[in-house]
Amino acid sequence: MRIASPRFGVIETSDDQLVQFESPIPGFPECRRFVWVDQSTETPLRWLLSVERPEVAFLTLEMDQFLPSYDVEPTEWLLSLLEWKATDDPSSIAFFALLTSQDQELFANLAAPVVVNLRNQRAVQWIRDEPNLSTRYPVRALDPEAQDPF
Amino acid sequence: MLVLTRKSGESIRIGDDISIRVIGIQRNQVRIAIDAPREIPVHREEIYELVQKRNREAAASTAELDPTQIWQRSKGGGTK
Repeated sequence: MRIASPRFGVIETSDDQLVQFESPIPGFPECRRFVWVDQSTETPLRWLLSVERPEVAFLTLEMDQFLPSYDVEPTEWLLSLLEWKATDDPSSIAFFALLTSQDQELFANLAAPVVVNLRNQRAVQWIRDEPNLSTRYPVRALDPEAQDPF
Repeated sequence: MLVLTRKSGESIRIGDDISIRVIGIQRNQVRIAIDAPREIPVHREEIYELVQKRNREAAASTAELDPTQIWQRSKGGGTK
């Protein structure tokens, strides 16, 4: 499959590499399939580029590396959507925060991570109904050495 | 818009597979039980709207971004 993105140019990908959202992303209901784009190897930041709307891309950060305490228990609902079974490797479930940029700083939405089953590339944006989770958490505070924000 | 009146314990059915039941009424609050297929997420309106807003901000604000540059700035530079 070829995706012509105004930002990244033409990207070639195979269908089994596509990240498939199993429920609509709020604000982007028509965007159900994405492809990972690693623009730079110097950062852990990765883009999720929309197949349906190649002008849309989300900058993401995998939570595991920066906020180990974010390793939360996914709900049964989430796991069934991702077709994750109890016999599957727990590490195949990965949490990615969507990032916003403002004044040269990055902020992570901890309240609604994108959860991906890395085994089958099924994904869901998990809206966690927890008022103590920030939707704009400064990325510079996300550090394994830094204080736990929870 | 369709407006219906329901008593506690009564339900509304939307399509074949969504059922909404009023399970309790207390002064200005109602408790509602919702049955929907797993691929139809159910959220409080204000939370859904906030996530929608943050998602749009996320896509728009990073559109012109150079990740390497902003990453270094975010992690290293700036005022701590």
